[in-house]
Amino acid sequence: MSGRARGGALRRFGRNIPAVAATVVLVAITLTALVGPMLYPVDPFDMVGRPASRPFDRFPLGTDVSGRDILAGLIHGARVTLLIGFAASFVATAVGVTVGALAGYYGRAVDTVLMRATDFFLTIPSFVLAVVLIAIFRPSLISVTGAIAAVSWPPIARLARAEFIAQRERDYVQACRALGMSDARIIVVQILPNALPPVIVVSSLLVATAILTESGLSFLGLSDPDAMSWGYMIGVGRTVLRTAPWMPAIPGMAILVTVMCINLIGEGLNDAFNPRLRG
Amino acid sequence: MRPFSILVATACAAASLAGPAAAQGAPSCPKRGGTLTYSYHPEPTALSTIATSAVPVAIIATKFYESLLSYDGPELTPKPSLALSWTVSEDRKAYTFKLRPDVKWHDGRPFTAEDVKFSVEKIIRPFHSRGRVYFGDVEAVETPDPLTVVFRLKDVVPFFLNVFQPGEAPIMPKHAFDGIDMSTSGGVRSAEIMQKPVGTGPFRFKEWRKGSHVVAERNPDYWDKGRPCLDQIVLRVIPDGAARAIAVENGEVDLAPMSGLPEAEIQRLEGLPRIETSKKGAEALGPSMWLEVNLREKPLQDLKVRQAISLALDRSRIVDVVWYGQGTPARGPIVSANPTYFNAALKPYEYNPAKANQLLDEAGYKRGPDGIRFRINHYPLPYGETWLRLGEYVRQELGKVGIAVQTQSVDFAGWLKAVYTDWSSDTASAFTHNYSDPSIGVERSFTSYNIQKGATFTNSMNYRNARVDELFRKASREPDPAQRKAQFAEIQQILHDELPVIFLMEMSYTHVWNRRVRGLITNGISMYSSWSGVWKD
Repeated sequence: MSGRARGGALRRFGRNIPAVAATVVLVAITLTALVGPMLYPVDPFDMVGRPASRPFDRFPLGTDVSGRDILAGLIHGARVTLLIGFAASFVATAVGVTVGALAGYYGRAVDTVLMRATDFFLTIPSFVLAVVLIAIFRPSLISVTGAIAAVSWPPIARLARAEFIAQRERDYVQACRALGMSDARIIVVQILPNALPPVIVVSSLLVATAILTESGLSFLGLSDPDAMSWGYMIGVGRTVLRTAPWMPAIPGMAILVTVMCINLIGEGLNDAFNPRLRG
Repeated sequence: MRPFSILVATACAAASLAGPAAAQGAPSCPKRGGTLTYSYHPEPTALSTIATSAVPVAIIATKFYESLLSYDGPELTPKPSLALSWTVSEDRKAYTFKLRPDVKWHDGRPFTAEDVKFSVEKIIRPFHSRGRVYFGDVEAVETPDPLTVVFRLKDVVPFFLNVFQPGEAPIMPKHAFDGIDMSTSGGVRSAEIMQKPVGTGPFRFKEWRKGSHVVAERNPDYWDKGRPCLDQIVLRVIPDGAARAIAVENGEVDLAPMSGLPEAEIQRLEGLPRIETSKKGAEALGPSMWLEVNLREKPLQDLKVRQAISLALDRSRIVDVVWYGQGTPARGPIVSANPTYFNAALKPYEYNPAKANQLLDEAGYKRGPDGIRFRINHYPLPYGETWLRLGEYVRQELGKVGIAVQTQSVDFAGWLKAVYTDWSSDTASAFTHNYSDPSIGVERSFTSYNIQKGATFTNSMNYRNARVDELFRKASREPDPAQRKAQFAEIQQILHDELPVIFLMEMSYTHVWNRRVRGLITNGISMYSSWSGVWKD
């Protein structure tokens, strides 16, 4: 893809108002996660007040079942939630692209082995597999990130493979081969930049899925018990859903907004990279 | 003193002889039929208290198994069950039980004195968590005829007639253990009967679908004719506390025993017209909650470290915030509700994080550059949300004094294994029952002769104090009540000071049930009783 085409993509993204708004909100959320704990230095696990006090009472968003500040939980939870979301998506993309690139570029036996392995992962419901993996490795930030990545990479691998198959017989690739370029160089330097745009779209949407998966896991009490995350807050608040509905609703809204932003950005990227697909 | 006690025992026996005859004649159930559904989390790991005496196991197992006696009232007055009558010798060292004739096991085989002898000698004494306390002083179990059992004791055991509770001394069929290696706990605890019970109780085992439910159905050949009143007892497995509360609220579940719901939900349900709640019916349990500490290694081996942990935790906060006020800060191993043996001279534990920091400094555990002195793990009891909140509180408060706590989430079987078999936990939240006598409920946790790999709710800490051993041994044989009181008072003072566990809270059980269930509260161990007289309107 030439520099000009990329500039065009950026311009098209810039004209997509929902996507731009979503980017602004997501940047704000990310900034909160990064510097918020310094600006609002309340330990989210500290019992600071009476349990289940209402929002705007003594604490801006009230306290949870153990008298912990919900606003502090929201700010600190953003860190863990976003960290796991981005890290898991990054790992899944790296693994998926590697597998897909090798399978697509070499084809034949390599393709068969790698794609059957991918199929194996695709046949197991991903959430259930994540639960099993975490049960085996004990919940911690690393195991949760790893488990989400482990169940998220197969679609990326399939997509990357398809892109590589489409590209590998193109003239510019043939030319590189004729010039005696190594396979590794052709894959990384030549084909990858051309195959990447659709992968970026899917991988950005993957962040949203990863956040939802992490929330689901910590809702079930399967996330790192020593880390505050939004899903954990919902899980704690769920026990008092009918007496204190705001307790699960606040982190629930946070997840909703974040995931919606990421999806809008993903859509925007998709439209920007594939203008032909626009209706 | 002596003649009097014999008189009491025989009078009891005489009175109770008349009791069941009358009960059998009259229609003993106001209403027959129906299913009682209850829920308690976690799901039992087995259906026999020999495997583990944990609450979820004991509730269901006591419907299948009986013991020689059953009990009346909060003070547990013995009355006949598998034994029709009993006599106590003048020196209180021989107990003769006359067994009920024509009792059949659920598989149809006759129940005899041999089953009693086998259960006590081969199963309960070696493998029940309190078996050695109960029957350690039994020299011989004699069976002169198939319906007579004589226990000969080396020493006087003051609480001996309290022992024969269905959860504590369950009589099991000898023939079910044919071909099983009785020498290892693994052999016995993995026997088929642990999962598929065969007892003499009013209900027999029908089905256990793991993760879903356990069904107990009426035993049609039950010796107490006309009983049980219910057709079925169903244990529904509902891991989520809020869902359990909703199930009780809408009548899907009839009963949540022993504070089996989150405290917030109990308070909410209390106001509903169809729901009845009661704290009665658990008087003989005396639950005491603590942090079980592994004393095998430093730094927890260090008394100053344990004192610091104790100082860092605000017990009234735990009671008020985590347990919604349902409990009392603990002062030692015996609960303050025990009218006879609680040592009122014990000082309440202090909350003083500054002093905790100072003690940790003195003990040589300086804060590192990250503010951390040392790291320990914590296994919260997997009994539901409340225990997770406790674990979070402990982690939080200990973190403030520089002890980094890493929480381990495991299921119930994994928890039992880590704490009582692998001894790999540094700290774990746990609760045990005092029971009707400290020799029964307290001794097992603190004596060095009860450090048993694999036996649950024993001395997992590896606490060894020769004086404590000696005092417990003496007290379990002491006929003079004043002497016993003094012995237990000294034990409490030592344990209070040495902190083999971090005593936290005396719990208070609330049972929540639908008003259509009747006759539930009968004695001080109501949830561990057979429920043969429970009926549904």
